[in-house]
Amino acid sequence: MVNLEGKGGMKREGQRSLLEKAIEIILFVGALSSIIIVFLIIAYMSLEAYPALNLDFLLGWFWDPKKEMFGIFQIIVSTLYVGVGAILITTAIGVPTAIFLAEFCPRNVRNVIKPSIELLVGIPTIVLGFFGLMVVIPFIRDNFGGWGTSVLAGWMILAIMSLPHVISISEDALRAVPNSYKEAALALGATRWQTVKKVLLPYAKTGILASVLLALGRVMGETMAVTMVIGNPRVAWIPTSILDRAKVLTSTILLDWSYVEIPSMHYHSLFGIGLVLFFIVALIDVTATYMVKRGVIK
Amino acid sequence: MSWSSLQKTFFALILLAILVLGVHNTWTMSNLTSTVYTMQSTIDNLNSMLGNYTQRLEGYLTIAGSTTVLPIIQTCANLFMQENPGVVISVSGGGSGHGISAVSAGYINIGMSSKNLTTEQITDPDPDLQPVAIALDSVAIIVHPTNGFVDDLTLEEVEMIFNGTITDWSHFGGSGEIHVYTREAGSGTLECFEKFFMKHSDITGAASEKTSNGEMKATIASDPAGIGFLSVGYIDETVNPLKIDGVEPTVANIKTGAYKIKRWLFLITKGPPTKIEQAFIDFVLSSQGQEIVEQQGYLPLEWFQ
Amino acid sequence: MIGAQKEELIIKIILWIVSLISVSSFFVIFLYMFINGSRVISLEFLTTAPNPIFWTGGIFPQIIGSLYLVALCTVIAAPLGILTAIYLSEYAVDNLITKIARFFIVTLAGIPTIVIGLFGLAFLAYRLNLGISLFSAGVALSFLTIPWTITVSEEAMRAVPKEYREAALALGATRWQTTWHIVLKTAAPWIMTGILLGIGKALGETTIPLMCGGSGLETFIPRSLFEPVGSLPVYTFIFATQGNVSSAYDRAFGGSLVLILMFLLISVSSLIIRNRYQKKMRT
Repeated sequence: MVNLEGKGGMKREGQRSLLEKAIEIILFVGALSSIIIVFLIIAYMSLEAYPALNLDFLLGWFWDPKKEMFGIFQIIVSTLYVGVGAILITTAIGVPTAIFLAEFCPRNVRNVIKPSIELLVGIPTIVLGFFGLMVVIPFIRDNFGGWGTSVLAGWMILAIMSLPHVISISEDALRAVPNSYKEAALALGATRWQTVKKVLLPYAKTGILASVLLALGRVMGETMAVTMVIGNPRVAWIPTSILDRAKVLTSTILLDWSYVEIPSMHYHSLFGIGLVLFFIVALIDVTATYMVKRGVIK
Repeated sequence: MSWSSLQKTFFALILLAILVLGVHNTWTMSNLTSTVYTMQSTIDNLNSMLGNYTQRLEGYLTIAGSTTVLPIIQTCANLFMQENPGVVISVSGGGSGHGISAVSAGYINIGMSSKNLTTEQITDPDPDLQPVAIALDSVAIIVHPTNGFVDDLTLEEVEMIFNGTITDWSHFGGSGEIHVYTREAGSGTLECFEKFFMKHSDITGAASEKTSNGEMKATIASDPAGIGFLSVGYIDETVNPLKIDGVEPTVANIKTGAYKIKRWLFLITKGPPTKIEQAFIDFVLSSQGQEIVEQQGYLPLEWFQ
Repeated sequence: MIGAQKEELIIKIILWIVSLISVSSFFVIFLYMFINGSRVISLEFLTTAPNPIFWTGGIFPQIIGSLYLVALCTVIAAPLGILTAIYLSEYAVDNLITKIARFFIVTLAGIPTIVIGLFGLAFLAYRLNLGISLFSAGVALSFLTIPWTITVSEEAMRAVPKEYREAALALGATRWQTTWHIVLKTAAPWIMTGILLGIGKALGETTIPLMCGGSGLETFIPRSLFEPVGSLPVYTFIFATQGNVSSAYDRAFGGSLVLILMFLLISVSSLIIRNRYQKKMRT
């Protein structure tokens, strides 16, 4: 850039470019250190997890630290079961709410509801877990039977947790549809719902799907609220009904970290769980990000 | 304009920081003992500079481990901090396993444990660890207070419930599935329970895991079909402790030996304790500390010496 | 056409009902916490230390502890995050290395907190021997918010139209002058919003302070960075799950409500900043 400025004031020019250089170096160091931090986390986790990473770990059937059995297959399946179920509920409730807010809601009502929902994105999950403990678990125990702590309770708490996220992003996606599209459909005599079904939803599809996927990642990585309501049987199993209890990846780490011997196979296995969890969530996130990028270009 | 809003926000953040610091200091200062402590520490600093260091205790202790020992140590720590304003003590749970491994690795000052270092569960114990027995405890089987159909169990019945042979309360004249709760694998309470009750088998994999005595008590108190086991120090009217072979798990029965389940509680340091660690352990072993042991529902050492 | 009208009506009713369910679910939770929590909150509750033996007392050290944690986290995360974002968006050449770096950052923005907690405990607290302390927890929390800050800030800077930069450069401004006066100035409110949301995230985080910060029941305010610190979410967790007396549940409700209010305060201010900016952009 400096070259473009001509030859006048060589000295000042020199100081300036020195400053520029200094700033660039500072920026580079800053960027480097945060990237190093990011790599450090992944590297350290991998290093500690390395001794535990084998097929027995990933496909092993039982997690029973007392018997030196560290198989997480059932825990992974439980995690997917709990996460996907919660997200289906979220989608079933959240997307219609987003459609309602974007298209059918009176403007003044929307102006109140939309910001309040945005406020709730990232509400402390401990509050939701506590609500689950005090209200949802006794409710399930009294009305459906069983232990109370169950997959169903997990679904309800996680669905509530991810709802604001899905509603808010889906609504944004729906409103990003150019007005001309909508007006054209309406001018052709389509009803509002027909417009939504034929024009808005296909257009906003990728955005909505991406928000749902991102929410799935959050839900599977959630620790506190889930551990409080999911029941955690001593030896993990694949739940057979929605009133069964389950053990998920996050709750296994949280329950076991306190008494683990350092170093031991158990300790390495906990890092292995962390790494597996990280990869599952990262895979989902990357898919979602890719979809958003493709959606934006289109 | 937007730049100035950034400036404003930074300004607000700085103000907030000043406010927080102010409140912090006022709060600390409003405490008379703390004010004395600040003055005292200034004097101490002067003294130490003059090579005339006084014997006042100062510093902080981190203590973690068994939630069985936790109530005793928490109470002792609070009193100890009142008597020695220069000391802060952070007490947390985590279970005996955590206490032992954390103190062995040097992450905490004192580990609390309700299991002995010599038991076979601890593979390769650190030879540097120095346990000090501070009290005795016992483990009781507990159910929900409204559970009217079971009051007395034999050792065999307890084992059959916990290994999953008996799964329904109808076996005892009640109805409904039995909800078995257990503790995490590092727990000293679990170890004690298994030693006395689970002689031939393992606890069923279907049992729900709880990570502290407090959580176990809270869970049983809210689940009418639940059964679990608890350190006797935690027992209150919210849960119903069961008789074992006709003997109630009361302090008197444990003292006479009629209720056979008994275990020692330990504080563990790595190597010889430092001055401040020693002062705290001495406090727990003093008559004042042992009174707290009894108040909290545990058994003081002197009863068994 | 009549069929379509009928369908429209049915759909409308369904949408009303579903939306009512989803909106009321938050309302119910908030109301539940508010009703139960407001009974507990008093000046004494807010200004005294907890008494973990009888499950009584207040939450003062926890409130301050939470603020300390969030402050430490922001002091680390905000400058690092913004520097990185500036470098990535304004300086770095688009090559494979920056692409990989960006990919990792985006991925880490969604990293489960339990993983960071585990890392903080094993690496910071144990390996680096920083102990279970304010410092370990604050640094671990900043690992949670650094990727978030980078992503948000970079998005904000990339949203600044190219013409702005080109105009400034054409006028003879250096690269840094352009970045500082044009790009940062335009993107500032968005960055601010991102940082505030990151603060909200860190404030409500339970797992990390639980694993690397302290027991949550500390009766004192840390005097140095290396002393254990109590925080509000951990306090709420311990009181909610371990003390089954009514005074413990009451305090857990109180803690929850204070936490919600602090969280809302932060998100409201971030929304206000964003909305003011959006309005300005339109006019």
